[in-house]
Amino acid sequence: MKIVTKNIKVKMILALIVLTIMIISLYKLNHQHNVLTVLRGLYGGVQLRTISEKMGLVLFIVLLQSLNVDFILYCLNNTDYLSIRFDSKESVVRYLYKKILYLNFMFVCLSGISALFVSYLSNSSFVGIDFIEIIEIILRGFLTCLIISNLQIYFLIITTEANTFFLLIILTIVLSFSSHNIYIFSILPKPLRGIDLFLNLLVCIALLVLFSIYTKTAFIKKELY
Amino acid sequence: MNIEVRNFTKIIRKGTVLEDINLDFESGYIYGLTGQNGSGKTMLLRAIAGLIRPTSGEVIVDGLMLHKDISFPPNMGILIEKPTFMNYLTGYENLKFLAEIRNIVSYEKIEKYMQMFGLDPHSKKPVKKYSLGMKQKLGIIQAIMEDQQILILDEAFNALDESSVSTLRKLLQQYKNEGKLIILTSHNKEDIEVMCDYNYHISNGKILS
Repeated sequence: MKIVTKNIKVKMILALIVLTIMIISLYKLNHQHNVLTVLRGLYGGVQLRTISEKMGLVLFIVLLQSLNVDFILYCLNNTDYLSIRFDSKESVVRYLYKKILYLNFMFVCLSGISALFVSYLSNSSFVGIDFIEIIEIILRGFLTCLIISNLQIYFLIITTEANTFFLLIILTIVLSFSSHNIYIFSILPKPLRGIDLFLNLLVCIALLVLFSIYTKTAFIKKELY
Repeated sequence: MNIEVRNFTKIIRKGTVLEDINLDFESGYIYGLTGQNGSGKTMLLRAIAGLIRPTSGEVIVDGLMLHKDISFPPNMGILIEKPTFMNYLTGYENLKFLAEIRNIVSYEKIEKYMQMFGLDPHSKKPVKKYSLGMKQKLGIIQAIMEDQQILILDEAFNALDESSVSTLRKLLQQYKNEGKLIILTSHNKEDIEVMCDYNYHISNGKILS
């Protein structure tokens, strides 16, 4: 694990810097000092009105992709060698998912930390802020990242690295334009309450499970003709 | 150990890449496969290694059928096509990473193998700066470092310098004497003639001799 994270550390530091710049920009764009709105905005959970806000979401997904890509490609290109050592392809998929889960969790935690850090620096008041809501946003952001990462693995199995990059960019652009209208079916953490929030979580988890099964099948079938 | 390939046929997109292959392999021997590019050598190695499923036929390892009783032959090392390494890690770190999956080989042994093939285990040079020959050496080391009892080596001598070719030949002879089962392919007829106890020629997916 230590070896794998050697390269990730550098990427995480770069991601932290970019995330901080993005959060500062979101603060200025929204003209408000509310850490909750900023965090939601980062994950595309608020209505993205301007092109800059939409670009913020695109940049977020690009960052996520760049963090994941090395390890996914290593597992895909080395499936034979890893399968033999793990004794099955299923174990390689599980191993890949474990690492992606860890990377994505680190990534959303970093975004949360930088949001809190920037709001602290900009003298935002933390009085009245619901920390449970911050955790809710981060966890739903984590769910969003996992869905996108799953799609990234799937696209990398069926097509090239460049195509995967562009397919996910197109998907993000579509999401940034339409997500506000599709309400509980959005994979982005929209501000929902009660039954709507519950239904949205169900939709996201169902999508994640569905994509995981589909991706796992594609991975196992990949070399076995 | 004993590997039996029985009536193995593989059809991919209406093209027959392996046709009714029947072969037996036993421990303590080195087997060579020769044939032109695209003749089916690598595909046959992949079939023996359990990396492709047969359209018909079977591969049996010590009485256990591949893809039914077991997924892969046990305790096997392969070098089939080039393995991918993590470019930002050193050669030693890459081997360590692979070794940690099974956790049956000591770091000292990895270092010893690297030194045998003229690689410096303490070098900080990342794999992305390695030459083709150096990457080939890493590929060979990952195939043999865990004392595997079955070795399947596809064009293992490619891109190696003279001293590494000699090292590999000596090692393979030693492994044969220790009772390991070795199957290798090479474009160089000398490698096959010098090293192998049995040589099979493959053409258009069929064993000719």
